[in-house]
Amino acid sequence: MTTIEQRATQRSQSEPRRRSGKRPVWMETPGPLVQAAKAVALGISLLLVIIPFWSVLATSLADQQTINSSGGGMVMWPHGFSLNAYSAVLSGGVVTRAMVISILITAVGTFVSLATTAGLAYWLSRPGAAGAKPMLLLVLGAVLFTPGLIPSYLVVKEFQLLDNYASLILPVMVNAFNVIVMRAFFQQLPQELFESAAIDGASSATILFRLVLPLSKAVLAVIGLFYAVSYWNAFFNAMLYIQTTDKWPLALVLRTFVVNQSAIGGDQVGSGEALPPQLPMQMSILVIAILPILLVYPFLQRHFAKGVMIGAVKG
Amino acid sequence: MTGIHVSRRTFLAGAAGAAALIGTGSLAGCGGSSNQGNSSSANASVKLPTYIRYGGVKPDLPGTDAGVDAGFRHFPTSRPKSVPQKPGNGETVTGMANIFYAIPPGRDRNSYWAGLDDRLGVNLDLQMVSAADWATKFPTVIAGNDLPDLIQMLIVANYPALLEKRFTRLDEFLSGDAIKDYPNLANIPTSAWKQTVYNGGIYGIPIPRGRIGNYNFIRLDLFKAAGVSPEPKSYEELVETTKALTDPKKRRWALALPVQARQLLGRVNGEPNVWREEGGKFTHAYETQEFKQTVNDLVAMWKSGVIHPDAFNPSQPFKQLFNAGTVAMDAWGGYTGWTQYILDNQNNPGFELGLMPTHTRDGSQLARWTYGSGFYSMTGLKQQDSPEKTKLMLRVLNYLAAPFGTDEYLYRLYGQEGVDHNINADGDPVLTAKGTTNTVLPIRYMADAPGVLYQAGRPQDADTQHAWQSREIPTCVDNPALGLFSNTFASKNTPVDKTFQDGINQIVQGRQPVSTLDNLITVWRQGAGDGMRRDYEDQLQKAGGR
Repeated sequence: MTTIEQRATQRSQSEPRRRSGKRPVWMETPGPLVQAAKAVALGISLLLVIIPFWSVLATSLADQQTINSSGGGMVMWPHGFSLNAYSAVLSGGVVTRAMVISILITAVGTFVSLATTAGLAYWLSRPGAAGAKPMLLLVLGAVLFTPGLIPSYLVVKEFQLLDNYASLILPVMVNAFNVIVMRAFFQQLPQELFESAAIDGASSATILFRLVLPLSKAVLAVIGLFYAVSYWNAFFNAMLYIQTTDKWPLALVLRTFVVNQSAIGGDQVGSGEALPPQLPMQMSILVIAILPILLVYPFLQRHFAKGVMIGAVKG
Repeated sequence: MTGIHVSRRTFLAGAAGAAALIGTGSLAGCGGSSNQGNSSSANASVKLPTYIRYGGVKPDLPGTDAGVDAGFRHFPTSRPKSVPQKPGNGETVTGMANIFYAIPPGRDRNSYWAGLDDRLGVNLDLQMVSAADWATKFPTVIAGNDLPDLIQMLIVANYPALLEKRFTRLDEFLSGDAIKDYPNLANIPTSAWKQTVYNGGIYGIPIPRGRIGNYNFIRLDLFKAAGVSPEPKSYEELVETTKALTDPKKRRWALALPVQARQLLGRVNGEPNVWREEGGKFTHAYETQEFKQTVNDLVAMWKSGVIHPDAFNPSQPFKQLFNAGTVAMDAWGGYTGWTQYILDNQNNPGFELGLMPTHTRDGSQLARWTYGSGFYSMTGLKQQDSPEKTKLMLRVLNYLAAPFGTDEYLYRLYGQEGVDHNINADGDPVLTAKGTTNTVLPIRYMADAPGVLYQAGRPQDADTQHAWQSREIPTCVDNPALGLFSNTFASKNTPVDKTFQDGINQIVQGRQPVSTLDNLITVWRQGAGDGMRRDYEDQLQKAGGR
């Protein structure tokens, strides 16, 4: 028997009997009916995501008449187009200032977080590194146990970080779960590469900066995005630790305005220049808050798709 | 990814639990769990500040001591100064209060705030906490031991012990005629001061509110369009009115929330104001026959479809629905909502705001309205090293409590003329866009003057409200638990009450039979009801009855 025939016999003996010559179903091009069903399912999922975004945008551009005709709720199609809500919200400078603060905290925080997380993960991933085992146990413990509200507040107070921007970054700088994920990724990298670099005289730091990090672009992008989103959306820390409203990040300003259904002002006296209606103003703040993330995400998307499975499957 | 979100959620969940815990835990060492010092007898013997009504501005419609608010058709042209001397001399005063608005710009970009500092003669540093976060932030700051000078208080467990340990007792500064040093504080009604008394002493400045508490707001234009009277005189007529106002095809309903319907029917059926006290024994409204009747009526009302279908959504924007005309009534709305509704609907054609009195079930007479507490919150003054500092705080609060129509009041609410407000042809101040964003500093929760009925540009509103209040106040029924402190109420009531309300909501929607009401009441009693009853009766007993 030739090698090919041998292989064919082996294959047919080891695999369960299939339709002769045909590949498994999921490898074939789907028939038109199945394609239509897939299109419908995807279309519905797309609509479920797009419609809320669209509704928020449309409501932020609506005027009083449109709100009235929609029964006081969200609008799907703005008949009267008006940018009054945006100008009312952006006047006074509170929202713009909060946005600048949020952007700075996110940028600085993400950089600092990535640096420390990558450093820690690298240390924990090196076999035989000094002190790695107890540190790893500490990190694993941190995944399980989170501090309560009062202890966190007291610790931040003891370090005199109340009303300080550092209190929004330092307590949440290293996320234990992200360390574990990064460590798993670093361990997946071919160790031979590092051994050969070490033989050539590279120190641990050189290996980190010139070998490990360039190979880890995917995981750095993903973890960086996770950190960035969490810094951007963080309002609870700011609510607790920041005492001057001038230093509030956008998420907290947004929350105060939208979640609390608060007015811009004036209803205490019941007189004032006519303000745009409540709902469009709330929606316009929402749009302003989502915008930066929406702008950044496309650039990271290709890393994200690759990186989201990191740590799940080996090889 | 899950790591980040899980940790934030568990953080928040832990926060709620820890916040509930610290109230009882960390303060347990402070004074024991029994309110030895805080008894009705000790509190009854306190000498409250003398009430001296401010006479510098004469109202068009005088208020009464029973609780009708004074009414003004226009803003008074005379602007007397009620505080001759600047309260401070360059010191810094810190405070913490709730804010219900979008936050104002900081002092360096807020001419109003800078101007206020100038008039007070102090640097007023206010921490502003949004309403939803107040219950979390307040216990945290207390636990942190670093209190601001002035705090808007929140009633937490072991409240009397907290007051005793951390806050200044104000009797020597304010009791009896000592309040004459602070004439604007003397203008606050005695019923509000009563609720600042704990452990036999005065522990804060009350923020007064109208005794009327709530109004039944109605869209007069929608009532007219439906051809129904804005004053249905019996239960049957009320039901007919709600049906006439409902047209699901046109997206119109009568009521927005179940609590509105419940309170409305509660007045019709003669329920007590939360508690009923007879001969030293307390009965809660939930335990009365009238409440059972109300629940039955609610089931019928829900079935008839006059309540908005989305009524059980906890974040339903009922005010927006009222503005848009989707619902015709905001029954049991806070009376301060009048000004907000007028402001929100300046550009809303056809919007006509009215008030609806309720009549008893058989239509024989006006139903008894319930008194509000007349009190919003208390401002606590933290313990200072010297009485001079406390006096400075009181002078600042005295300025902030300047009555309606004074020069200080005008600045406090409207800011600087020409910048934050303009005076229109009728002499009424109108906020500019800048003023609207700048003047929302929450100083009204540090100290405030008693409310008045005044609507710029609409003198008829003062008359409408005054007339309605004058009708309802004489037969108002009080809540006998006001002025008494219950530890069970402060620590257990919220979740137990929520469970009860959820159960009622199930019955109203027809998912559970009305017979489950008895079980709900039993669970409520075991959870908090009996405990609260015991607390209140105990305090009353110590005083030897009222």
